[in-house]
Amino acid sequence: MTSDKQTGKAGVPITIRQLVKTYGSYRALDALDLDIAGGEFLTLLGPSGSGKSTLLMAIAGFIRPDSGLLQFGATDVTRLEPHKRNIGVVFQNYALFPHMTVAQNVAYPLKLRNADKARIDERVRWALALVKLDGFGDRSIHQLSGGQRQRVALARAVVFEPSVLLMDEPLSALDKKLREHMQIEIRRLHETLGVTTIYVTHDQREALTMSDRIAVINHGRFAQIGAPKALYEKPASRFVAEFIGDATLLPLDAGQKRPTFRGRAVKTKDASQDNGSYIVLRPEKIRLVGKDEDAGWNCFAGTLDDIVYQGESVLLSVRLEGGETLFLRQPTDQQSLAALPERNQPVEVGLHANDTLIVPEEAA
Amino acid sequence: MAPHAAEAMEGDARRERLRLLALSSPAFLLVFVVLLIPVGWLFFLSFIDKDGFTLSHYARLWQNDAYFEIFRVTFLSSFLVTVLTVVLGYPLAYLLSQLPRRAAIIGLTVVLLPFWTSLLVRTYAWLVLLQRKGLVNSTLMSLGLIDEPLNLVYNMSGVVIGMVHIMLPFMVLPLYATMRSIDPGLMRAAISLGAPRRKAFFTIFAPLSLPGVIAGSLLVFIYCLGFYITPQVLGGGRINLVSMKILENATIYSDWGAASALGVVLLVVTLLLFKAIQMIVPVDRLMGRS
Repeated sequence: MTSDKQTGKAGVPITIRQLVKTYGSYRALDALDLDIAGGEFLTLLGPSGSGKSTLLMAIAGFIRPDSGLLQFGATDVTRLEPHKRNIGVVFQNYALFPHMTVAQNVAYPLKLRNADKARIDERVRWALALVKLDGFGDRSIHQLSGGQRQRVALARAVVFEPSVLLMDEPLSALDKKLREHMQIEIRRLHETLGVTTIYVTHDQREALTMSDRIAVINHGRFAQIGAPKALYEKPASRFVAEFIGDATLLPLDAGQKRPTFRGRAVKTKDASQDNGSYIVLRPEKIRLVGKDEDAGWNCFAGTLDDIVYQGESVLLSVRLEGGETLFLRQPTDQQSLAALPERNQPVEVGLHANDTLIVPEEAA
Repeated sequence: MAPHAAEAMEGDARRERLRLLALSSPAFLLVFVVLLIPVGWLFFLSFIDKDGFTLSHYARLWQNDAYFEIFRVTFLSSFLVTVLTVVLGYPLAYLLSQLPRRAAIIGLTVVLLPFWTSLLVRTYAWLVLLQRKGLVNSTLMSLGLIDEPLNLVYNMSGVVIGMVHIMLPFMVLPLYATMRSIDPGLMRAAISLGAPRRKAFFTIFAPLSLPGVIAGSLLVFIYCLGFYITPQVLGGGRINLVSMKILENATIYSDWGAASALGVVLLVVTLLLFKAIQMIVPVDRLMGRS
């Protein structure tokens, strides 16, 4: 395997050009182009059936694309058999070999590469230490918890220094606390190894937490590719705005030169968003305002429908005069709680001009 | 409401256990009546004759070399049939396990189809096919592959061919069940880690399918030890198995003691063999985990 040592510790850049995969008339991958930098942590994010797993499996070599180009560094791997690609894959259900111990699982890729015994022992110890499973080598897979199995799968996928690390929803089977812990562990592991990593998830929060960049995929096409903050703060389309984070989208009045909502001009920071068709209201970007607090705010009148206490925050739902429901998140310090209005009271919801975001139906 | 006393709760739990036990009692009774009692009776008969307690039935088995030969042929044919059903059944079960479920069910139905015809019919069908002027010999001769008809029946090969055909489903079913339960993701994982397909098969799939091989082999082997009709018809009296000798003793000579002693020896030898296999292959470990 060629590994491009100039680009970083072990990171090999990946180039994808016009990659197509169809199943009958269904285009699972619709002429995708993507450049992944060496050592980058890129997440493929999309709803189920969006094509994210298909793309990952095509990179792994388990799905043969109909046409297109796939390159690791300067090497064309489009038609290379999967076992020759030198990739580490962490599967959703871990896919650990049940008839082998933890150490035998981790040693498996090294034995295939004919490493000598001393080298295997050393690498297995290193990999198990990396995932904090020192001393677990002799355990059977059946004796491990879900989180531990996940770590073994990780150790096995990185022990042979692959040029690319692929992860297919690896944390989806874990409970929330463990999942959040493992997200940080995987980030740390990525920083230590510097291996180019492609991570698949449908969990937008996980994608925001872990990635250098996120590629949002829908119907076999990229809806938007960018850094987490850019995607959240500047979604390119209605789909991205709704898929990443919580948001209520209100349709702007049609046929107006400047954006207006029900006849009232919408204040924005600059004129760059003038050609959008929806205004994005995120629960943490809006708040209850007084009637007179007008300057710089876009205000929406409605009725407080429900108050849901969620521990770290309170979620308020407000029904607008037009029947749409907005959600607001409020902190739970005593002062804020005391200031909450009663249910069924009329309220004003404010969105500051600086936070006002207008998105088009489709990306330009 | 007052809290319930611990004794009352415990009483509920006990009654529930009893009810569960009652549910299993028909099966338990059946096993007791049709298995334990007859085997016990067999055991008892083998130690008596008209004068009371005797070891003469066993002594005769020990002294007569013909009996040793019968046991040897019985175990040899059972062993051959078992090996051949593994060789034929493994690739078939593998193919079925890799097919989509719907196609696999059709394939399994075809495998099971012979069960719906009589054992006797299938056995005589083999006789027609394998005899000197049967379909197999005449085809081979007309193709010029052989000049003389092969002796395919009334010998060991006829017996083994017929028994393999009858026993194949008993091998394929446990193999298929085991193989179907192997996560296909494991093969993918092995390939992603750098294993060529063949290597992945031998290091991952084959060891995980071993419990199925053992289960199928035990089924086939033990069934073969007592097989009567097929080896009787296709052996044409030239292949003597324990089952035939037992029948001969019981029906022709009305010597239930001798027949019982043969049955007991067959049972004991089988159990010893089973134990020996268990000591060599960790059957429990393989069966208990998947």
